[in-house]
Amino acid sequence: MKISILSTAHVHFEAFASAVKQCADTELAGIYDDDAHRGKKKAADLQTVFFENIHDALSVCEAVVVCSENAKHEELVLASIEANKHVLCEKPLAISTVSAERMAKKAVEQDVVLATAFPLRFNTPAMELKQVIDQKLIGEVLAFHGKNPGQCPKGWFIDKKLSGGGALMDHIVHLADLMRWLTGAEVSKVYAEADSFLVPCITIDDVGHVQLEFDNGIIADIDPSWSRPEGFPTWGGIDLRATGTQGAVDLRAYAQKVAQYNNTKTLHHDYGDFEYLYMMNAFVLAIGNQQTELANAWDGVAATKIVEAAYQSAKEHEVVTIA
Amino acid sequence: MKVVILGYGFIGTIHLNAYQKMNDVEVAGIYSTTKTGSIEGIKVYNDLDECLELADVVDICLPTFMHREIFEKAVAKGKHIFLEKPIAHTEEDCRFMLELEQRSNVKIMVGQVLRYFPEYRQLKNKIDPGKPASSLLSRRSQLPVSGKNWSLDRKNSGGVILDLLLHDIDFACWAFGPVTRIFAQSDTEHYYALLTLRHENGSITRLEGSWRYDGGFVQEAEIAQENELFTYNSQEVHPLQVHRNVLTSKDSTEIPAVLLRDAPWYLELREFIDAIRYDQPVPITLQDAYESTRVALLALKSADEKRPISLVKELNA
Ligand SMILES: NC(=O)c1ccc[n+]([C@@H]2O[C@H](COP(=O)([O-])OP(=O)(O)OC[C@H]3O[C@@H](n4cnc5c(N)ncnc54)[C@H](O)[C@@H]3O)[C@@H](O)[C@H]2O)c1
Repeated sequence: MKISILSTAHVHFEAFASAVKQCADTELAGIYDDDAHRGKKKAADLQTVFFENIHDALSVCEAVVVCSENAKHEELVLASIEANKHVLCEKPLAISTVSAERMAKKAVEQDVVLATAFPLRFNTPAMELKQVIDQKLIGEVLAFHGKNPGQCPKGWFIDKKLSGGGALMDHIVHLADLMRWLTGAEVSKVYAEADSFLVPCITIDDVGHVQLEFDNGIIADIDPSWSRPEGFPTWGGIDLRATGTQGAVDLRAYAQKVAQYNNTKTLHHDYGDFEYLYMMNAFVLAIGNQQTELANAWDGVAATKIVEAAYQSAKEHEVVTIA
Repeated sequence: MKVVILGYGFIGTIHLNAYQKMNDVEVAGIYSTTKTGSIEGIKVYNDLDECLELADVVDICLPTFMHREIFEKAVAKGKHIFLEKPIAHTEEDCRFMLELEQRSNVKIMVGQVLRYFPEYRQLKNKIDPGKPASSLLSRRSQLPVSGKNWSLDRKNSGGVILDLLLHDIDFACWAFGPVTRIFAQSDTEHYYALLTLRHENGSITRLEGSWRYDGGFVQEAEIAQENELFTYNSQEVHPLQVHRNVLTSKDSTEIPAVLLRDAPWYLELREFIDAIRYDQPVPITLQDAYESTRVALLALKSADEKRPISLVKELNA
């Protein structure tokens, strides 16, 4: 299956590109980017074609990966759906619920796959956690304690017009989606405190502390802060503790690392499975109408609602109910 | 100086060990409702008044719901008081005790012992007090054991928030200053809780307290400030671990393993005894401890009412 990648703006571009290249059923058809300079360079690195015009990129493929700045997802996704292409869109699906819903509805109308990239669903330790929970090894889940801290990605991420928001927009959705996927429950209430005081010279939110209540009574929290300084040996991490009536389970989704030290710095090298590849496999299967764990557009909508509620709560200092 | 220990359970035992290292302190008696005879050569009293008569200093190690009544008696008899945390399990009791203190002229100190853990002192000393912090504090253990299981009943102990998480709430108040807003959620038994605190200086502290953790006792802190990150996890800094091929039972209350010459429980009592000897102010007053106890009590209220509680509003109400 031929896949074009629309935009190279997001830091996950490299991961998507190598997944498309590694996956046995996909082939990289080319790259479109509204920043031609950036796009040409990335295309050259990957020895693939660069398209200045999105319609040319769409005409050579069956499906696309959208990897742009958050605020440009809707435009690229809608253009792709109109051209009858299946879409795997980088998270968050959109910067507002109305935008996410427009995209999801359009995909239904055109009968194409619109998937949201939540690679944690394909992270091997996280999949094992799902087994532990499904088999009720810790009894009934009562609570989740989640951490998804990271380094500040800078660039367009700190420009609200392009990102839609800072750390909360960037990092709530992974764990929020994971909790929904693990339990099948929906978030009904959100409380958040947010601020900007960790990264110097930026005004966008870089601190967040979010609490959630699910419709089945599970309580949860998430730390999406950009709290890892530049000297931190890795980008961040995703940790989740599930506490149940008969025990607790600790997930450190990216603990599988080898450390390297030299005279000036410390580096961490991942050796865990490459979840983007398994997500790409699932995308191909979903296009062939098979059941997969892939997050669909409505999962993307649900995660976006949670982010929106968190921003509202942080502003109003009240618990926000999700309808 | 003559000390009597009131209540010889889990913490009473630890306190006795600490006093035995002090050559200027004599433990003159132990008050117990269940034991008789003597403990390590110290006479056990079943009559509280008789026991109180012996003392210059009383050390209250009884269950939390009994604190107020015992405290009142000790103040009435003019004894210096070391009071285990939490001060009490209700706002009303706390205020009553604060009023009694106002009218007394004895020394009173509260055992917020985390302030004597050197790792938490390091964290407090290294953070920049002029900048807000984003923190994550967690404390987890298996279900604690107590006399007649009093601590498992939220009505008597305040549950995991007041009994366990108060340690970290107190640290947060000590390190980041007064709290202005509180949001808390907990399970129905109050064995597990999640809290978010907003401080006057802009800091945000998120706390997790669990009595549902069978992975060994853990205390954990992660503090981020501008361009800085501090991390500490008690399970990652064990200086010595013994691994035996025999089954060991895990049926007692868990506390952090401390491998230091002077344990924090010794240091707090030593400073209290010195404050009395040299007539100095005590390091942790009832008022100091009330600040954080009140935050814990309001967290319980937040969890019950499922809403954030603003301290400014609460004060005006
Ligand atoms: N600072 C710390 O690290 C720490 C640790 C544990 C407990 N504490 C505090 O110390 C106090 C005592 O806690 P503990 O863990 O030692 O409890 P515990 O149950 O182990 O000991 C309490 C003692 O009081 C006696 N007692 C008398 N009347 C009782 C009654 N009506 N019901 C139950 N017991 C009765 C019990 O027999 C027992 O000897 C509490 O306020 C607790 O919060 C502090």
